[in-house]
Amino acid sequence: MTMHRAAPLLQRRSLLAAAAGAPWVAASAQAADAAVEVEAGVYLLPGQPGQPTAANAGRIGNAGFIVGRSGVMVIDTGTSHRHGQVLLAAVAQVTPLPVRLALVTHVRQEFVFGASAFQARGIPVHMQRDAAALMAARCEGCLKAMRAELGEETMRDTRVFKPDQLFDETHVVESIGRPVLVQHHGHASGPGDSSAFDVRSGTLFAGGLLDNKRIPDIQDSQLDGWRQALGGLRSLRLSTIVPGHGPAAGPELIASNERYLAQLERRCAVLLKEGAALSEVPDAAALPEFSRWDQYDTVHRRNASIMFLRLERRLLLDEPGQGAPR
Amino acid sequence: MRPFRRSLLLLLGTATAATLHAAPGGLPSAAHGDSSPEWDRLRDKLFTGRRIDATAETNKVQLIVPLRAAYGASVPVKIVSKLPQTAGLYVRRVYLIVDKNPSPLAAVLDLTPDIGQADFETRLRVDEYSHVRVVSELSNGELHMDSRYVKTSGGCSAPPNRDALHLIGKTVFKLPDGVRPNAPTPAQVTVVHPNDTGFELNQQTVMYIPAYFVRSIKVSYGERRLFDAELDFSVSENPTLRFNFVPQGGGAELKAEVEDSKDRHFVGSLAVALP
Repeated sequence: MTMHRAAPLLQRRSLLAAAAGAPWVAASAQAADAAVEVEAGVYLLPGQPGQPTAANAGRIGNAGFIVGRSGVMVIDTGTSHRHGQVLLAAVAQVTPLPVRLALVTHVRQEFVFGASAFQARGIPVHMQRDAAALMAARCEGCLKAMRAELGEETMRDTRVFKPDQLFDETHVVESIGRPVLVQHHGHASGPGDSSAFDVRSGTLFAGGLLDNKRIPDIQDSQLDGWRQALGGLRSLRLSTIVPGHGPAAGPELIASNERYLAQLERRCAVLLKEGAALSEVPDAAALPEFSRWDQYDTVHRRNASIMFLRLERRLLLDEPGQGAPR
Repeated sequence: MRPFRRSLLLLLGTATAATLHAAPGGLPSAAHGDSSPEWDRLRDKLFTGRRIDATAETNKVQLIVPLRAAYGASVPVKIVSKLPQTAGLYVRRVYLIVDKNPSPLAAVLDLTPDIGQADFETRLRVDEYSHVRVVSELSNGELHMDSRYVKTSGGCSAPPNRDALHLIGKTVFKLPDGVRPNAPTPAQVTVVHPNDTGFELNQQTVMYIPAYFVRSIKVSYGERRLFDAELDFSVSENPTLRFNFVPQGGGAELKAEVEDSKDRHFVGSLAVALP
């Protein structure tokens, strides 16, 4: 599945890793900060597996970029101001063309907080309006927690930013001399999900919609919207998917994510029906098929609790009207 | 008594909030020990000078909480009393506390012997690494305590739920294990309510959503009062309480009277028929 696709790129990746010698790049993060060419002119800047820790500087989310005739578009901006700088340096290792814009696809700390580094270079940051609203509502608190978790030094100069360009609808970016379809998916994995599709190569930067070998986080999601968005991706002529987390993959990635969401919901519905207590749910909702995915022990357990609570709430709302407000 | 305790709840909330914001986030010093600075302060205010038995072998209450809570917005908490409720000796009051929460006193339950067995389950918000503790006050004045140190998984907080606002206050009873005549029978009461903490921002206006939460649930069975619960926003969205009662005679009505922080009143009931 994904391995045959990644294999020929390994050589290139190690070459690039050796070349990326920017002095401020932390040694531990160095290999991960080099660009991997997944299709001609389309690059993945891989995040590291695991939870955000001081050791990985919280750099657990993928970013990437598309090199057009006249410029570069970067998709997602990393975890911190410094991480944003590192991503820009990795772009500069590949091409001298200017970065024309950055797109933040969804509101998770490992994708949004590098944006200030782009803005500092005069690069406009684009974001869907609902995603920007969620960021404004909660990211100060999130940033505070990250400073405590990852350390002041790692998070230096990082701030909650104001997007330069808000958009509402799906549109085509033309400014890099290569058409990129920026799709707005509504409330899917989170409010204001967007993705970027490089029409020429068939590469999709899926943002929050898809993860590879990692448990998708349902905390901000609306499941129906998410399923609909995943179904919609099938109408694209996809060759390669760069997910939010994990290595690049082929179109089969969509089905694996759909299967996880479906099994999670089914399992939790059974538990609710059996009268399970919330305290039992994280253990009882084990899904062996996905037990080797990254964050199975954390995100999956939380997902199970959240899904159980959602189903329980739906049942509660549908219950015949005892105790109508008076 | 009642208004006094309410104002005490509020006073404690504000007093500790200031110190909380001053404290840096992250891990507290290693200890799983029983105490915390927040608890030391609270203890002085709530139980000045009184002895509290916190020894597992002798105390009369046990708290069951997952050590690693999967989801901090809804941490399941179970209180088990190691004595039956009898007219002679019973658990008179139960205090449920989350040391590090902005308003640490999550619930005060005022109990009667009619519940049969003073076991409770509910769900709490635990915002950071914190002790959760229960203090039981017996009818003879003794205080018993148990506590657990809880870690919640990190991550951003979920956006607050804003659908079905017209159903706020809907109050539903359930008997998860059916009816056990003349024996303690588990029952659960749940109120549809956002239980807003006042610490969440509205995504559209970027203004704080004002605190709005269920303040009390009073539960009776037929003519008899079972318990009064005074609650705070440390209780999770859609506050739920699992408790016991003793179904007798030909059955009667379980009834919950609910009041929230906007002084809205709701009521829910369930007719319990005995086989």
